[in-house]
Amino acid sequence: MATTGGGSPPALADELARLADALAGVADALDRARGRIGGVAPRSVAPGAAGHDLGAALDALSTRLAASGADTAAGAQLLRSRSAPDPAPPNRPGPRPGDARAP
Amino acid sequence: MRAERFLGSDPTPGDLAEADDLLRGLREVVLLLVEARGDLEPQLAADGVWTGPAATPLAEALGVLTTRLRALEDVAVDLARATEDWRRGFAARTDRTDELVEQMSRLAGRPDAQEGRDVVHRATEALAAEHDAAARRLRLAVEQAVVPLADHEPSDLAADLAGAGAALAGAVDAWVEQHAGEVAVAAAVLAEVSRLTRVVGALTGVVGDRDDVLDDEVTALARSGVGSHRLLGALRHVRAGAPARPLPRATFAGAGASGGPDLAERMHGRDHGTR
Repeated sequence: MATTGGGSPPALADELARLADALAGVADALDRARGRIGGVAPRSVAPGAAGHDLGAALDALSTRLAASGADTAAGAQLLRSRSAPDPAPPNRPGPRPGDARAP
Repeated sequence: MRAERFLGSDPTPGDLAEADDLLRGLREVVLLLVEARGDLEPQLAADGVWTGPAATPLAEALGVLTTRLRALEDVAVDLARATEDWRRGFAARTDRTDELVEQMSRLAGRPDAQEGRDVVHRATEALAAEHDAAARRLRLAVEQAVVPLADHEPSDLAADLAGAGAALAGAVDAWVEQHAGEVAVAAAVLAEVSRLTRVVGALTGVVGDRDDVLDDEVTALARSGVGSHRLLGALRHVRAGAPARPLPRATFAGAGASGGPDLAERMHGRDHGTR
């Protein structure tokens, strides 16, 4: 990254926004994967303990997918907040005492 | 069920349709995870943006996530492979169950077919044992497939990224400090552009005459800016369209009336000074 070497720093906010988009995409993919796994009933795929173990494995995978998805979504949210421009200062004075707009 | 009716029990229990559904689901999960990792890994390329000491914390945080995605992908792949192996053998055994049911149905009710029925029973028991063995292999494969999930530590990507962001902001601040002179020049150029922009409307006649844009200021800016010849040209264009200044009123009256020479005298080539 140019921030660490010579030259000019790239538009950091733009790069962070791009990364936030990528992370949001990852979070969405994880959520869809979790939903897809949750939609199957594996216990009747195989008899006895095999079916039970298969179901438990899919539950564990689903749990990890959900946790990773939430973690990634939080990361994307943080980067979005960092890449958002500072709010513009108010360009109008607020209501004064006695003003009709004053609460 | 025909198997229970003719064979006493189903030697190959299970639901083939659900196995197919599970296999489709796992394949979709693998594709989603591959796609997700494909979106993320370019961010970590050696020639990418997030390289260098200041970006190391961020790259490390992304690396943890990428590793996790790869582990989840491996688990899904291994589960899909185990399910696929099971499903392939399951389908073949189900076909053999159907064949045994067919054989037994032909032997049913025939007192002379006891030996044939015994053969079918033994084949049924062997098939059931084979099915159980396949189920045990499936169970073992599933057990091995989910081993990487046990290594998953809870992570806080947002916290890691927050720390990484602070390092990046520090690097940018250092860069700005190092290049303060260039930044000041850039700011001055931008200020000049801003001033020029303020009079462009008047120069091009878009906003007409504006009281807040003085002629002197317009001219000075037009001469000083980059591309001044264009601005001066525009200025001349604007002023050419401006109304001419009022001339003194023409009259045949004496010089005292208009303050100028007598028009009649001027027509004869004389003025006050030459009389």
